[in-house]
Amino acid sequence: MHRKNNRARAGAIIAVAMLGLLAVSGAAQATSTTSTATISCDASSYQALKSVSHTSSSAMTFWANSVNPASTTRVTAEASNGVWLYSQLVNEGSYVAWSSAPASTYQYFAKRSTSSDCNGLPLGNGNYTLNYTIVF
Amino acid sequence: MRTRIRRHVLTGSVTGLLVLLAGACSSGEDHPEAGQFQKFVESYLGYPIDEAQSNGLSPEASEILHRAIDHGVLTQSDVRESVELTLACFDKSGIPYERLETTDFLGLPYEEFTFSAPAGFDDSDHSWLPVADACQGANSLYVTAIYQNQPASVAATEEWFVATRRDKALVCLEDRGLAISASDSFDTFLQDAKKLLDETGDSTCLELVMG
Repeated sequence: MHRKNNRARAGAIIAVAMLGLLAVSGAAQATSTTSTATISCDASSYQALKSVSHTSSSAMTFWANSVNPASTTRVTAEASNGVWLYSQLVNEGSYVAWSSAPASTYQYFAKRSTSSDCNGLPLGNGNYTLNYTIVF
Repeated sequence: MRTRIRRHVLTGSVTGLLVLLAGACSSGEDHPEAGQFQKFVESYLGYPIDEAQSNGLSPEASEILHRAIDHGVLTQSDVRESVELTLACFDKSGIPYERLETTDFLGLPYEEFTFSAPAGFDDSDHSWLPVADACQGANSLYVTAIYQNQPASVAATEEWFVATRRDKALVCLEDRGLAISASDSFDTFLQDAKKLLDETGDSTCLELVMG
């Protein structure tokens, strides 16, 4: 029993210390991840991109660094609790932001905004490549 | 678009742009730059505005864009109206949603939203997602994108940046060895700050630039 009390007290001290550290250092700073995806030009379904853990107080932003061939990308993300962020359109060299995204782990998804023939071949519409950065 | 932007005392030119974007330009008279704005809208849509409904836009969203073309600008009120249309579509489809109050890139009140699976669907079952996609695509997806990227918003963002954060962002980037000038555009500041984050993991300047 005595040992249990000591353990509980130690846990409380650690929790208070961690809160103190958070207060001193402020909210978590934003970080980023960059990757490249190959996305269908059919615009029929979303393709899963990277998953990120959003803990900062900053907006989450998605940047389309380079796109080939030129395409507008529709982006959305699903939080680990099943909540989805509204979808947005992003063009090459630009970004979109979700200002009030609650802290969570987000799985990003993307598809072409409209269907288009990206390869000029009789069969299928082909793909485009999207190099993107998520700041979270 | 950040939640912690606060209103500041604005310069006259910024105030003018804010008034325009907030919806004060509603005289009903055609804007002299309506033709240019129509081209901008159509470049975003990827088809002529008269084909909006045949390409899936709702009659109401199409009307919003026609009205904006007449005025030469999309207003925040237009965006709010289009979001309301999306949420009404969610209601009809049984898609639960939550409104999130925030501020836009000019510190003006702005409404974002989240949504989730209708009752009876597991989180892993995304078969309902095309319905949510269609609601947004028909109503608010393009209106929001055009609002954020239209020339008036870009100009207002530039003015807002200079009036509220440019000097601190300049010091931040210079302190980290980047060659940047006060006369550089908001976009240059933004790209340099993001490059710094990508290369060093330091997000301080990006957070200053974005507000």
